[in-house]
Amino acid sequence: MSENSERNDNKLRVINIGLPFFYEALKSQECKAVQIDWNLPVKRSAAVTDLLRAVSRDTLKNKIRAANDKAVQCIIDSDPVWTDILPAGEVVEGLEDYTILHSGPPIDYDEMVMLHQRGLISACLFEGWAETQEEALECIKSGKIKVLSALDTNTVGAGTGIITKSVAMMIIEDRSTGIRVGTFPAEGQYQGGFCGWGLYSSEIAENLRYMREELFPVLRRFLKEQGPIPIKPILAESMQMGDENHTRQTAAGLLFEHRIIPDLMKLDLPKEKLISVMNYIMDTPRFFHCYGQGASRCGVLSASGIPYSTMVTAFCGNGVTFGIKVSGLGEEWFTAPAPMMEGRYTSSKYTRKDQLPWLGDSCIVECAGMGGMAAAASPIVCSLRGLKANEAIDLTRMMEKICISQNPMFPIPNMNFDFLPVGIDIRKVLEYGIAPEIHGGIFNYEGGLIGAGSTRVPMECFEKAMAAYVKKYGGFS
Amino acid sequence: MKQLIVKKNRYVDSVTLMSVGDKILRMDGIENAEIQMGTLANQKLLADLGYHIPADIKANDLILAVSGNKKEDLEAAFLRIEDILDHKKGAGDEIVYKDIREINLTEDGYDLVQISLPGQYAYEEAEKALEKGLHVFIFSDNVSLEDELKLKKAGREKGLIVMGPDCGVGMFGGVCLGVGSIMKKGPVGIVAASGSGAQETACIIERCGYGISEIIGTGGRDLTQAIGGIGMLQGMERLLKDEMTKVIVLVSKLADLTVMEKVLSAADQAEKPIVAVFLGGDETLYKGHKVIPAYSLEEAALKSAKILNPENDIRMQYTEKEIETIVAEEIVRYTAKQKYFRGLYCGGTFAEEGLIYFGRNIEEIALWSNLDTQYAGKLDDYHKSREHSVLDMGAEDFTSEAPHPVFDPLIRIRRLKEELEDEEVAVILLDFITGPGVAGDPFTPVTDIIRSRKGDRHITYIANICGSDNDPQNITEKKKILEAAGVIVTGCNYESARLSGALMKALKRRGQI
Repeated sequence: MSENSERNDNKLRVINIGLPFFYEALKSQECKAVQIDWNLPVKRSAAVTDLLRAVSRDTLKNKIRAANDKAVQCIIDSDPVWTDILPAGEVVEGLEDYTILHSGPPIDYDEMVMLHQRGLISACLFEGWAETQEEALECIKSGKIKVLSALDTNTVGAGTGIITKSVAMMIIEDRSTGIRVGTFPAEGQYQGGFCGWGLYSSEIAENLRYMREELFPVLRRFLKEQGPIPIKPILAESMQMGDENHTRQTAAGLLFEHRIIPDLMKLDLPKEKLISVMNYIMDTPRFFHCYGQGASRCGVLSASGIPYSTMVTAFCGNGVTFGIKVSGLGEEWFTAPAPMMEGRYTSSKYTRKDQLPWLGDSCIVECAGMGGMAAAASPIVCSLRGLKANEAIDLTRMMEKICISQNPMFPIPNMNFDFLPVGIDIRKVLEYGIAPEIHGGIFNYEGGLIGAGSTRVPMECFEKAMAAYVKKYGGFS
Repeated sequence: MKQLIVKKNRYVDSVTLMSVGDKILRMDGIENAEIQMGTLANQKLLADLGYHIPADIKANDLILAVSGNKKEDLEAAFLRIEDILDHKKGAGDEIVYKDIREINLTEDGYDLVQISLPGQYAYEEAEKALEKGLHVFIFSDNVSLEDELKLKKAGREKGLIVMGPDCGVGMFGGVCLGVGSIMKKGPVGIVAASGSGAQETACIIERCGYGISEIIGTGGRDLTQAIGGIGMLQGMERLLKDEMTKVIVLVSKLADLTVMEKVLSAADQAEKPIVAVFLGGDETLYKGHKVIPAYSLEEAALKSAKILNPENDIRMQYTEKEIETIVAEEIVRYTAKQKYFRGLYCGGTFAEEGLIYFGRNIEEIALWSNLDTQYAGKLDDYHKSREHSVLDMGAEDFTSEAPHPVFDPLIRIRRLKEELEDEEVAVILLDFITGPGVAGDPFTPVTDIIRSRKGDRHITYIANICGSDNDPQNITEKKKILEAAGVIVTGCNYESARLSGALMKALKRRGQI
């Protein structure tokens, strides 16, 4: 028989699922046949099966396909560049006086974890809306303070994500759509500091002052003369160098520094000033983290609100609940109890008891096809969880199943240069029973990073989103 | 001529780019190929090579630049570059699919999905197959009637055939499916709600010298009120359009009257001759219809052969006289205790056909079966035969305990041994089904037992082989092996029933004397 898949006779060509000797029987008849490597399907509730059936009608499916293609293309085509540094109030929509953003889906003060509660108080003190902690608490409890979820605006709140109008934001703009987002920079040696951990102290206040008065003017001048700085090429190259750009951005950081420092040094400014700025950037662990965040947020924001799309546009947790958003369902949240991460602690003194359930918006990078979805790109991060390199690759191969497309920006050496999957489809998540893998930092109940690891997004979020989807799009159009 | 394409904001590392360039240079008619990121150095390099560089190229843009003599060569080169950059899978890569949906039908064409998963998973896969525009053959049983209806309606809407669920045999597009035989190609098309019935009919037609165009199975429940014969009507329609098909045979057990009526009425409109056998039906069923009725599978086969060539003198295998001769020879060899017949069937329709024959032709007979049937009493325990017994060993009570005997002869072999230990047993009937999808050798285990049996009681073994000469089991040779072991090999199941029936009658007569 010819190996050619072209049809050279009109003999039936058969896909066999089930008994392998039926496949052999087909082969013995010189019939073109393929055996499906079928596995027991996921156990799904009848309700979920019904929902999936509701969205499997041809007319609706075609609409979903078109919408998802469009949505995922927004991520693939996004061209995020670093343009400026501005106070959050000037870039984040709706961030007025007496408004505080936090990470994760919306939550009442009383339900919040201590980190968020403390963060709101710190924010009042930082902005001068209150003189004392008691006064701040009074402001919050009286309703004078408006509290919003960061992912309900055009920013992203890694960690506690405490953001007020005076917080300086790195501005990332998607050149292909013009969408602009703010992402707060890592705070020097404090990393999380005010925004990330909701801490406020005289040292942190001093660091914020330094950033505002010393660091940013230099960087803004640099951007004015040399900017904007494209982020995607850095992400793309670093993904081939062992980063997954959530937990690890070592290569990206080096590429970033390599990209900006030589030009920074050319600025017509006193040498001490330039060296101070250079040292600040180089001494700040994971300085690049916020750029990956901003770039991812740009991509998914471009892809938000596309009717019929079943693509995920947000993942985040507030330490109590975990929430997702779906492009075709706009700004609606679908939540479930926040999951615990598995990973390694920075010190043996920490145990699971010290650990907070998922907190932060940083898994926006997974929505954009990096982080846990890109495990194969960074076996070193997966080793945190005790995975071997091939298991990291298997993990991404599994993630391929629940994604809409592949991102040609990210050909991964470990995957024989196959592209990373991108665009999580809530239908596929439920269909395959595979929840997206998310990487992240492990937070202490009392603040501070105590480790890194990973977990899966709770299935319940997808089930609720699917129910809402079927309600909205009927499954009959 | 030189051509340059810019991919804005697309990063590809330089090592990959070098290998792309190499591959393109090896293509016909290409003089030069540069695939580079748009750095200043690269822009200069390309300008030196004579390419016109657009003004707004940045370091993060990818430039594809190719030169050659002909436009077509350049186009081919660009397509190839895109393929390599998009990492399209090359030929020869072993692809393992975990799901039908992973198969790209435009790249890799398929026509039909054959499903033999446990029943509860069959629906979903069948649904996926129909979504992809593929015909479906569902071997699996235990699919709900409701799901069957949904699938068949969806198939009908899309012009796709849904064979089954619980469809054992099919021959579709020149390929035999399920446990079917590899039939010779020819002018008779069969639509069947009974797998073994279709197979038997086809095999007898083949023995008459004709081939089969297609066997479209519908599954056993197609002619129920709930399904309404969707499969049979659709199958008939397909065969009416099929050029190779000159005669159509409809095969089923007796089913819902209104549905059968619907099918027969549809057949009245046909422009091709149609033979119908609804096993268990009588003349009244066919009254007022154009179809040519048959009352056994053998008769259906013979009638279709006769239509193709009226000159042919094709008759049933045994004349009454021949049967009398065999009976006279056998009856004198039994002990006084030997009184009964045991039919160990693996084809469901064969058991049914046997039951109908015995029930209709032998008066006041003590007949038992594991099946629910009007022709025999139901055995209290199907593990134990009594008096004359007809067992469908492919029925669920047996297959829930062991693999179906067409795949693994073991369960029937065990039963055969037990029956042979029963000193009241005189006649044993066995059916054999061959084809690429069934047990490679169901024969030798039987002949081994016959040969190794101790004791001097005479047993009459009656067997028929339902299969094609093209089957891998080599039925001509196997027939000889059976006969060498003393088995009477009849031409078909109906003949086995005739002969067994005659022996049962003779045994009864002898008992009364």
